[in-house]
Formats: sequence, C-alpha cells, structure tokens
Amino acid sequence: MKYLIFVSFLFILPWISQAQFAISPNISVSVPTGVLGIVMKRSPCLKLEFVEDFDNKWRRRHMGSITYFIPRRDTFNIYSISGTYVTPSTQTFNLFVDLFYGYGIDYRIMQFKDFKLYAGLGVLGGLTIRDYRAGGYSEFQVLYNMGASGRTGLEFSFKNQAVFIELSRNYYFNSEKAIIDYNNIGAGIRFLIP
Amino acid sequence: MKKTIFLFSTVVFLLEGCVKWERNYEDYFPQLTVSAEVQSDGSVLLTATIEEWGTLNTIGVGFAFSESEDFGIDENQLLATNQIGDNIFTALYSKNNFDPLKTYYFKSWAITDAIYSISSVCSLDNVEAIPIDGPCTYPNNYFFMLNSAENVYSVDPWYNDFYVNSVVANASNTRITFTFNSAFGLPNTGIYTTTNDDVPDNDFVKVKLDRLGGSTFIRTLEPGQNVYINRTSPTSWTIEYCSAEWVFNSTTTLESSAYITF
Repeated sequence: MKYLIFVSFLFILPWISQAQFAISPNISVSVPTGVLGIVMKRSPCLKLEFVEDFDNKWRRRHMGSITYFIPRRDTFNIYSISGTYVTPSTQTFNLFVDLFYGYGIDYRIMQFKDFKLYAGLGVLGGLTIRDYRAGGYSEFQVLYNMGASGRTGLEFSFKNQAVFIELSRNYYFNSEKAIIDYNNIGAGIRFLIP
Repeated sequence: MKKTIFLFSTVVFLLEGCVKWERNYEDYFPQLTVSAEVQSDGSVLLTATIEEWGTLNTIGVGFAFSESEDFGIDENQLLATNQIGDNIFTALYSKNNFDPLKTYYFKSWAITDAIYSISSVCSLDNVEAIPIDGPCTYPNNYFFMLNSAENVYSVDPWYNDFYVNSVVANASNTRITFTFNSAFGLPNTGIYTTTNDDVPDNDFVKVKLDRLGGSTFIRTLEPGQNVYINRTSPTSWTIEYCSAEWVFNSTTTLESSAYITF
C-alpha cells in the first residue's frame, strides 16, 4: 500500500507548476491508533503549513507538525513471560512527542462557489521523542521516522484567506511495532502570502 | 489517469486509518471477576469469569494470592488449568498453602497482546478441610502392636529438623514417631500416605515404630497406607491409622493401629 502512495506521488509531482503560497497555522487533535492508541489519549497537535493556491486542480504544500501525546494513565501494567511464569511490571511515559516535516500534493475534487473539497497525499520525515520507564530501566529515545500521510479537507475562501477543516492520517514505515501511526482532525486558516 | 490513481491511493490510505480508538481505556482489556471456594480437603478452588473480553487478544488467564490485600500477580501465581465454556477459568490451590488462622486474598488476571488486567480482590479465612474420620474406631490415645494394645501416655511437642516436622507419641512399650515435610508448616487436616523417605514429600508421612520393651527394634509402617490427620485447632491434632502393615521379619507382616490426640 505504501508503495502505491509513492508511485502516485512521483507520477504526479512533475506536472504541478509553482503557484502562490499561503501560510497555514492549524490546530488539531491527533488520535493515536494501534498499540499507541491503547496508551495515549487524543492529543493536541500544532501544524504550520505553506500551501499553494490550486493550479489546474493541483497544489503543493510543505507541512510541519508537532504532536504532544498525553498518556491515558500514570502507569501501565506490562509483563514479561519466562516459560509459563508471568512477571508483572509497570511502564510510565514521561514524554512522547512526534515532530515531522512533510511535503505533499492536494487535488481539488470539487468546487462550489468558495468552497473547495480536496484530497491529498504526502511524504513525511521526522522524529519521535520519547522518555519512558519500564520495569527497572528508563530510556530516552529519539526515533527517526519516514512515512506517508493522506488527507481530505474542505476549505472556504474569502478575501485573501481561507478557513478549512481537514482529516488526515500519518502512517510511518518504522519496523518497530506500532509506535506512532495516528489520525488527525483539525481546523485552521490560510493567509495568502502576497 | 493520474487523477484516478492519486484519488484512489488517497481513499485507500484514509480507509486504512479507520481504526477505532476506544474512548474508555478499559474497553481494550478483558474485565474479569474472581471467586474462591474452600474444598472439602482444604484446597481452594479459584474461578475467574471473563465478563467482557475487550478488543485485545487475551493470551492467558491465571490467579494469585497473598496474606495482604495489595499484591502482584506474581505472588503465589497459578495459571488457569481448566476452562468451562467460553469465559470461565479455574485452578486449584493445594491445602498446604493455607493456615486456618489466617485470611487470604485472591485475584485473577489476564494477559493480552500488550497489557494485563486484573480482577478485584476476594478474601477467605478459616481455610481448612472438613474433618476426616478413618475407617476404624478406637479410644483416645490407643496404640496396637504385636497383638497387644498399649496406652499412649504422653506426646512430645513438635520439633523441627529443618526439612521435617516430627512428633513423638510415647506408649507403654513403643515410641511412635510421625515425620512430615516442613515446607508448609505443621500438617493440616487430610489423609497422608506412609513412606520410608526420611524427608517425606508433601501429603506423605513416615511412621517409625521404636520398640522399647522386650526385644527392641525399629520398624516403619509400609509405604502406601493411609494416616488420617485432623488439625482440630491451631495447636491440637488427632492422628489415626487403621490396621496398617509393618514388616516384622522377612517372613512375617503384622498390623498396627493408633488413635492419638494431643
């Protein structure tokens, strides 16, 4: 699946010409999925993006994001198994932050007056910073990630701005199990850069 | 064409994100309850019931107990040995784990792919077996050997020799020594099986007959016979055996009986 995204991305990229950019701050909620969703709440996310105006239904964007994940509990009941014996332990998260830079393409699916419905794909590179204690040891880790994102959104343009709501999903290509795939729901405003 | 591929990829990607995030943390894990029941022989039957399975895969179910209310799942841990239907799991703790004077707390636990969950705690006290009665009836402090009955006139206090606990009953012509494994303390109510081992296993007893009067000799009851122990209080017992065999010489096997209270 992830390869399909890259094929699509590379196939389309050369045909997008450069257009005017808008700066786009965005407040959203990251909803962790998989194993991460067990231990983390829906967490706040700040994004700052530079988004082109649509040019023949296509546009590009640069994306920067930081999500501060909030654990559901102070401690979690983890365990290890030796033979048939189960040894309990606890895990505590002191810090779990995801940062990335991404580059993406949007396609305008339809436009009705000043409303635009769009969908997009992108590629991501970034960091996950986590500080946790499990059992008798603690660890501070910085994980380097690469991944992809998909999104869909609805924006309303007025004067030189636009407001939008957007749903996206980040999917990371990490080999370590289920770290940081998450969905994102947010809203923001775009200011056209003159 | 490129639009089609692009939109298709986007849709597939977003659909891949349709993974439910459970609002309630507890919805991920099995929710379970525990009950504990003393059996007639003094063992304790633990039953775990999975009330809700949760969304994670449950790998195993087990139990733990302690004399304190706050304890981990690794304390006296026992895996479930039986499953009844889809959601009931049981295991049996041996009577040797328990002292009738103490209160014990039990919990069940279940491990999933990620995290384990536990039940609330239940408690039991007076964990002891139903009194047992041997298949014979003798007066108190009775001993029979070599075709004559003797009176047991005294019983020495229990003594511990690190691996064993022993008690000596003194009869007119014979000293009878009962030796038990000390791993679980002094013996509780139950049927013990005779053995020749100097350090008997749990649920076994070595009965030594030390003949003092006339011709002196030492023998033991033959292995595999029943000795009936009742712990009538924390500090009192009855010991009974009925026509148990012992080997006098290579050609003669005789019987002995006893009913001793102390």
